[in-house]
Amino acid sequence: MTNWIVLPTILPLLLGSILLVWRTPSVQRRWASALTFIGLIAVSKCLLWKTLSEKILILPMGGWKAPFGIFLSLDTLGAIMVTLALGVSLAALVYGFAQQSIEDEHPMRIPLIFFLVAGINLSFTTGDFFNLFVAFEIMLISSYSILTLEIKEKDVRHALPYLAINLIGSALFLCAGGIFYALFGSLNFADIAQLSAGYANDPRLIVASLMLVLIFGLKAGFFPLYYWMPNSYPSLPTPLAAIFAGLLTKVGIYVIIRIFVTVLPHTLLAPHQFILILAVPTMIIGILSALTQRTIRGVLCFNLVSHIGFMMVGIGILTEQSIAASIFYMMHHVLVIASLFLITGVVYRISGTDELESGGNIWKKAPWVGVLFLVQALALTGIPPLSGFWGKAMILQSAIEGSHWILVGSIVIASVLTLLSMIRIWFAFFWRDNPSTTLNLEGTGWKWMSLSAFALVLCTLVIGFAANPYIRLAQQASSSLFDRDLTINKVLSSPDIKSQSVHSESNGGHH
Amino acid sequence: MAIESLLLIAVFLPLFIAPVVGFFARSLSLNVAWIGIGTAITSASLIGRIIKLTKGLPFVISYNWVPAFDLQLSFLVDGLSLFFGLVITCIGAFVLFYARFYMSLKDENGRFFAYLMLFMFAMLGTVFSNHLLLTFLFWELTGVASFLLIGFLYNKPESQKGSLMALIVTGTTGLVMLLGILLAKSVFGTYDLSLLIAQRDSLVVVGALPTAVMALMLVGAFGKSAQFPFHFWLPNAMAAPTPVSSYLHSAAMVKLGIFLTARLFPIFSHNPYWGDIIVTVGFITMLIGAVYSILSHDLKAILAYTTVSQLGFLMGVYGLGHMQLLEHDFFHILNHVFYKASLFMVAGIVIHIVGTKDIRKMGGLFRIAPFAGMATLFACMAMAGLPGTMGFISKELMLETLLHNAQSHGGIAWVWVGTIIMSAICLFATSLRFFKTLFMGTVPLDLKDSLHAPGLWIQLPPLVLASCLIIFGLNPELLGHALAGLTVSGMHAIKMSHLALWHGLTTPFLLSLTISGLGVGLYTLFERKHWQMEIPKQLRFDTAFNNGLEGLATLSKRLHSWLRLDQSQDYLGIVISYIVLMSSGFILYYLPLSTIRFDWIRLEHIPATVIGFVICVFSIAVVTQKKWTTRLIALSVVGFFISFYFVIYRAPDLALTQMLIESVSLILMLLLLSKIPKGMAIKEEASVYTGAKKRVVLLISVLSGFVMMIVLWFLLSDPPATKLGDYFIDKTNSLAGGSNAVNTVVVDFRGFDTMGEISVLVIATLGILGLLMRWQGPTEESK
Repeated sequence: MTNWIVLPTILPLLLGSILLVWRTPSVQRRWASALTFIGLIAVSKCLLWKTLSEKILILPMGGWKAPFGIFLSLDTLGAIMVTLALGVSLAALVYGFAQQSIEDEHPMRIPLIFFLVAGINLSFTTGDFFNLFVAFEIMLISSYSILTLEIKEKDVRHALPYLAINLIGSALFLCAGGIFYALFGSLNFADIAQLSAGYANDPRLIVASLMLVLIFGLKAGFFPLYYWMPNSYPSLPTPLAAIFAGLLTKVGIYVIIRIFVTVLPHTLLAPHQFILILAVPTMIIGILSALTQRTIRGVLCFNLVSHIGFMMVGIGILTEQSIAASIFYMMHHVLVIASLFLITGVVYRISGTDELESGGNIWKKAPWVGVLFLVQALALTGIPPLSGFWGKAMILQSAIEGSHWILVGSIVIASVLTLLSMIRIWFAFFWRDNPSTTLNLEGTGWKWMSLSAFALVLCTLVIGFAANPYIRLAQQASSSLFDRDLTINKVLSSPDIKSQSVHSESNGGHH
Repeated sequence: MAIESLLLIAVFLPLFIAPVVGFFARSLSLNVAWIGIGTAITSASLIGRIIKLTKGLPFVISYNWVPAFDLQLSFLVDGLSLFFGLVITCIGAFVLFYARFYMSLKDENGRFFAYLMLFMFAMLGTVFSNHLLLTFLFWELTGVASFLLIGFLYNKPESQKGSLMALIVTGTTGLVMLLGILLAKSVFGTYDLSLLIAQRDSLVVVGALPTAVMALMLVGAFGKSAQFPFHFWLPNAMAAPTPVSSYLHSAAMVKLGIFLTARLFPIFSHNPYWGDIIVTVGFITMLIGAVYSILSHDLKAILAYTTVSQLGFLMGVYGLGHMQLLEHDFFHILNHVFYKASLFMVAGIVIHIVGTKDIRKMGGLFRIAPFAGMATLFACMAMAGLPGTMGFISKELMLETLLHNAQSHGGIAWVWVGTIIMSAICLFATSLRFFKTLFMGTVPLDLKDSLHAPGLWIQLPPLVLASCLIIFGLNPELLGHALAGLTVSGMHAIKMSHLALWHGLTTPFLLSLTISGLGVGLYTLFERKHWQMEIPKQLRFDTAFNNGLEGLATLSKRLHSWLRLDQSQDYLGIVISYIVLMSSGFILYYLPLSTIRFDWIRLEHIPATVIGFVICVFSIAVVTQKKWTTRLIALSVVGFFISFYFVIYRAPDLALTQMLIESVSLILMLLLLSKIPKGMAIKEEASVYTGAKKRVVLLISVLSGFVMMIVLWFLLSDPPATKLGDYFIDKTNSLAGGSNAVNTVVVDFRGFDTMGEISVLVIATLGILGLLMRWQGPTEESK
């Protein structure tokens, strides 16, 4: 069953390619893609369950022994992220089906979603630095393609900074790979983890790790490296924006956790302090920018940026508890921000706009959409016992125990302003009477869209009200990240399948 | 039934009834209120039954909820929670009854009653909670429910303003309280209230951290109970329908801060700052509320400010912490609950009758609404503190304590005596004004025709509540007896002293007489001036709050554009400059540049160095040359020379590939450029960086080169002992069966990477196809 960890990458690639050939959109094609996702979710659930007992699953690609071949390795954190990625993508996919009729569907949309998911999943499952780069390439090139696939002519300029900065980011990523290789002579995470223990006080490693914060901060959205992000997402169709906002920055956060918790030594304090310092402006400036936005999607994008800061706090503090807090917060945030984008799509559909100035009337005419939005807005703010509360409270707890008072203050300010930014949307679109806006409630499209958004809302409600197993899951994920020796031993002592077989073959030849 | 199930039903019943009420509102219309009333009465009687069963002994019920976060669904049944539970449910029943006759027929009444039930549940949860986090949870839920209730008339701008203000103020202070709670956990090691109360004697509550815990939690209490400087949200919350005001803003939500202070009293009252903080804040609030009440002319605002004042008074009770005051704390609270709930109800009735909220336009309503008038008379007497009412006894007790306190401590304690006398004078005048203006005198001419008498039923709840003030005011023993069972350990004496109506001709009584006299004087003074005075603009905190919000919006706009977040053409420059500047900073700070070594440089590095120089020269040409074609060719020369590196490092296939790519892309680009009209090309060339921008770009470029050079230099001077590459070169024949290591790495050792990169190429093709064949499919609607 450990071989299954390649499935979340391979199956989407395979299906994406099949759908390139089977290129006319049809009901059957939609079913095939949805069912693939459902199957994959089942696989990822099994894998998640398996990681709970075995801590880490490894798969040497091509059977090459560590550290020479590429290793796929999946621990609890990776399995959680894969499951989330698949779940959000499925919701967005189904939502897209409800949103567009088959005639309107771009034949390349679904294949590209599959490729994107393949890249995302590979990032979560790989145990090799260069392979991670490849995963990012798959993910990014798919995201460029998706970004420009259905874009309007006038929005193309928003795609340009996205493209340019991410290309620079990829080049820097490659440099980082070079730095790793030049320092350790290895690319395998477990191998580097073992080797790097001897480098803890090496100034070269300190500088390299600080540069890694900058490089991955570009993907994750640290201040001021997030500039490219918030303006490019709103030009996407809402289900795709949901995938982008929910997952892409989280991949960056995931990689930061992976590199700084499991690969580099914990005695390396400089990068963590740097992350903590950057967390403050990320939280505060991000949320202040949210207050300047004139569209729902704009507000959400800057909220997304601001909340990256919360996760940074957990990562920067670097205790088992704080990492668990960040992991839990990440789980919550993926679901909530994605569902808010989907709900925004419903709002867009029924009121024909997502500009705050021209919205209104929804609370009177379609209260259930309002309920969905309100629940998620409160969850995003962190009102207990909704999902956002637990993560935030855990992060606050870690910050208090570490006596990081500035961070504590920033979290409080950012939370209040999050609430304010969400209430602005609430007033503008739900409570306000706007005689110039007429709601279009005909047809069933928006109801089906709401329903698939509701599926995600339901997930966050479950995470909120029955938080215990999910907090435990995050704690377990965190504790297995901290169990570095286990990972190192398991990867480096894996049997050398290839050379054994070659050996036996050559033996056979001699006889 | 066991106490556990009784309590759970009492607390959770309103929650389960909320959707039922919402659902049946369509068929039952306003009669759906009866379901709510039944629920409230059921909960109240269950709580009454619990009082009988526990006989005043504390009792804890715990269930695991989120053990991973130490959160239990834990309820504490003791005097305090039972008392508040009774108040919430009983007043809730009265308010629902009142609302049944107050609300007009509307589609959204179902929502209204559902919110009320939800709110009742949140209140019950808060007061019965035994776990600080659970308290916070319900605390925030009351905030959310009150947001919906205050904003029930949602499309009115003042509803939005008021609900936003209430939510932000109580939400922010609530978050501060959460900090206090989390800090309490790390200081005291538990969230369990009953445990904290039980250990209060051994608990160290003195020192910086415990004081911080106390202060943070009190901020939450002050926010919810509208204490200075958070008092301003309450008058603005009056945009709510009146039943909401009479419930949330007299009996329920605003009392939560008082409740929390009472809850924390046994734990923190030994802290030296406890009294100072609470008394200062409470008495300032009391004075501000009283003064503002007489300067207001909106009927509900007047009541809101008197509420603020009385809440300050109640805070003071717990701040002073005198046994004599404390043991009758429930009496003080009930006094306010009765008179304020009934006055709000009356205000609702009156506003319905006259159609305006301005008290200066009212008068002579007694004939039309006699029962409401009587209710107002009783309630105003209590508010003014006239003998024969609960208000009198409450005020006398406070005066007595304060005088006693002042005589023994002197100094600042006399200030508090002055404060309460001044507040009492203002409240007296306000009470007098309220009753006189509303019900005495003659009906203003312009109202005469539009008046219509209110129904009998709607006047009943305020009358009943107000009568209590007189009944218990004349027979304080009656109430004292009922409350005797509801004691709280650490706060109340086991045996209460007796409450008496008449204490004799004491100093407090003489003071009361003076207050009444001065109150009448103040009233006459304002009457002469025709109530023209307003709250001074500088002291209107709500205006300040709104200005603050606007300021925040302006600030964030300025910051947003100052950081050039709205200039997408600058993003790339900002991001790259930041990365390069930070990296150079790190290098200069951390890397010991003095230890740069040269011993690793060998003769065999010479060819690579020469190639590097050539690449540099041509790179400079790329940016300095003016003509497109020259630049392109320079660029491809750079590419060609890079392929020499592959030759040096023994990768001929890569060198070939690189050359191929360079040739193809050069030809393609030249072909493309020849298609671009002349004019556009010239325009492009003109927009090359100039002036200061050019210097910045140059600096960044040089720095990025510097960063890469230093990093490489340091990395190369101390290479690792083993490298993967050595292994691949070593084993390429024996393990992968090919003599070209680059080939075996690409297709065998790391074949999985290659598969990924091939996918990248496929996807890139798709992206280009997508751009080339612009999709005309999705219409605007499907976005």
